[in-house]
Amino acid sequence: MSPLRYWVGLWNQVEHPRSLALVRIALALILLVDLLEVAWLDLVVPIMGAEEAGGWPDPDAYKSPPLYYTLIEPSVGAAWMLWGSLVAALVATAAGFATPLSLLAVVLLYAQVALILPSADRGIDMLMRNIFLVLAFSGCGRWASVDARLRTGSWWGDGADAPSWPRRLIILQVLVMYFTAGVQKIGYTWTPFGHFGALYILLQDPAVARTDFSWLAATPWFQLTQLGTAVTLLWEWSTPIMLLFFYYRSTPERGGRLRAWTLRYKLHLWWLAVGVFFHLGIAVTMVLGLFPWAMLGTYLAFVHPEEWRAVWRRISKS
Amino acid sequence: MNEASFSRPEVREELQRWMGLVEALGIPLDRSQVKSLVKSIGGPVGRARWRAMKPFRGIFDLTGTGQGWALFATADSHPQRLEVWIGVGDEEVLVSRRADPAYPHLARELAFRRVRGVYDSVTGKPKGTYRRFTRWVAERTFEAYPEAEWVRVQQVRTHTVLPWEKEDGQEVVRYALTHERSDG
Repeated sequence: MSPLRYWVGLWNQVEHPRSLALVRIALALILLVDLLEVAWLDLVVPIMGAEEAGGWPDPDAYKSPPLYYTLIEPSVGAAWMLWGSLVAALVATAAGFATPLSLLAVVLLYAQVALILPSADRGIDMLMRNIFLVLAFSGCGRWASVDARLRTGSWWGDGADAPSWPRRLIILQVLVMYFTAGVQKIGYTWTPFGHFGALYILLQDPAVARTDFSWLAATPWFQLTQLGTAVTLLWEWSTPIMLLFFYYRSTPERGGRLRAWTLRYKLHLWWLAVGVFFHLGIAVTMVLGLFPWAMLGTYLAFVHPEEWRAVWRRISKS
Repeated sequence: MNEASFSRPEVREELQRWMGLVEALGIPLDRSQVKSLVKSIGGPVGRARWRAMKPFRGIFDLTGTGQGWALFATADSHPQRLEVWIGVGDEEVLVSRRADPAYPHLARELAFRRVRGVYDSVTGKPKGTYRRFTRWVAERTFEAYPEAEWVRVQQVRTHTVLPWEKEDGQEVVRYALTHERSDG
């Protein structure tokens, strides 16, 4: 097969929409919890309100005013309306109701929240918007959704396939994020010259540390943080190897010892397992909000829809 | 990187460490050379990226999408701790300190990721968003402490060293803003 034919085939395949639907549901629910926390902490107006309504935004810092407040008169009610609309769009997304439109509404409203107070918008928010935008064009509403129920009479749809490219694009996006995060780690303490001290130093930062980690200075805890720093860096740098694993998985007929070994031991799952451990570690030790959970939500795309079916069968049997 | 970035202690320390490594290899360097090298690489790369993305800028702005992130590219050796103080008569009382359970006032709000971004990203003279944020903290604090006559929100910059390095006990108060109850 020529490389061009392989490339076209790669993006032209279809598969069951199960994995995409799982990502849709997971990310929508995770962002929903984040927004409910915004309301619970009484931060809707400070974060989403205009300055004249009591919001924190600085109009002098805008290159151009956010579209939302050029269309709607700034007020406390307008801030709550933005919050409510985004919550409604996320509920519809999670439920799979008018899925493509709901996802587009999430992206556009979420972008306005980012524009209103840029400093309250983090890298993970941008990553989630990227993924929601891909999902809007993916057919992820064909399974586990109100749309499937309305169209086919079953919540689980009629088994019709969806394109594979959105799931592959999400995987690529996550891999690009990890790899660029890895190559940007040029801080001295991320390197052996800086004694792999980065994780230890990060955990002394009161802005992000969950609690007092000064005890990590003692042996063997400091050495464990060094190991954690080295593994984090190596793991992020090793991201491109996942592309090789996925290539091997899509061309099992080609043979070869390395391919057979990769397929037999499911090396892509081992790489993911390190990621799961990494994010759970972040969730336990740092206060980064939805970041670790949203990242783990994207991992659902790494598992092929047929693998999810096998997992479900195994759970049902046991 | 601009000129102001080079005056930040964490950047100075980072630069010093890398320069020390290069000098240990027998290559003499001076600070201004390194600064111009960093600027000469960073400037054109940033401009080229901006030009390449320009045709898509409208879509990126409308959808809030892009590829800009860095997950702790450098570990900040000069972190800042947010504190809230109140004035009662002649006394100054600490009521809130980030990640310190002994001073838990507004702990949940100040730890929330979206709020952290607001005060953790402040650089230079505190103004705009940071000023409004401190006013919000002051309003909540006046409600919780009716005896408070004023509220001061500040950040204390410390210096983290590796376990075998000598601690310098550095504590610099920055971005301190005081709000009087009478300010309304």
